[in-house]
Amino acid sequence: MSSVLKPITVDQNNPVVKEYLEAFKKGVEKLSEKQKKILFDSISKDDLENKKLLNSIKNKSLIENKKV
Amino acid sequence: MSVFPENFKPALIIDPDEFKKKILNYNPAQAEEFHKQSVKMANKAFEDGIKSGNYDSVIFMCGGSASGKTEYINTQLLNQNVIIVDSTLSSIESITIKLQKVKNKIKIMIIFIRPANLLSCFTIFLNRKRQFHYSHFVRTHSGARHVFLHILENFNTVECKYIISDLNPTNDSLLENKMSFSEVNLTRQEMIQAILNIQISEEEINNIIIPFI
Repeated sequence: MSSVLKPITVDQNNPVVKEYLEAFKKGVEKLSEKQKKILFDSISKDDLENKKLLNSIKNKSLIENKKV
Repeated sequence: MSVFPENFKPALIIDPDEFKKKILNYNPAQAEEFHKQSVKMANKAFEDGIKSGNYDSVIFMCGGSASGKTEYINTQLLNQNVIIVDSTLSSIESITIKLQKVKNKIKIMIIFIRPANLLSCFTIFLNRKRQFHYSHFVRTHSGARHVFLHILENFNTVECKYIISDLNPTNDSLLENKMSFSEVNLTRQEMIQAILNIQISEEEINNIIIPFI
């Protein structure tokens, strides 16, 4: 996965970033327990799918290049 | 004495949301009502920036509402001699007009920001100061993916970058967060495939966010 996704350092103290994170925190605090579970399950599912999808594209491409 | 080199020119950021603040009686709680006017002001500033001849290139941000575009600009792009257009870029018509205006005058780059998770992004959208109807979220997230694919497939000279934004909540708590960006390292052909795979209709987004409306 490391070759597909290149992490970028983000300054967590940047005021715009802080405001963004605050909005998320504020939103999560308002959620019901049921909504929190929906959100958490959705995050976990997307995390897996994102990685799987990008890796499969890269791997498919590597295989095709080898064939050539 | 300035800390910047003598010939340093900061980026020109064109953000309709910043223009809203200049409109008389602007109220963030009713941001939508001021959107049309602020877009007009932003378009004028964009044209002036291109005409000025002061900038090496133009960067168009692309991504749905609250996807992290402004946060990416503020942490990654400020110290460059470029024009940065901070809008969702969710209509093909709008980007086509803008690309025609730039033509071959300066280099063009599109940076597409996609949130790793749409529901987290929607949670932010609902809880920030600027308030829009949720249909704005739906339209811009579906539209931006469509526009980015259109650019990848039809504008070979436009450099394209694909960034995923994430909040990385821990297993224990949704409240422990850190914002992160990752650049997706794919060739153009691979990127087309990746963006094709994440196309999403407005109806599909509606179905995802329904439990939160």
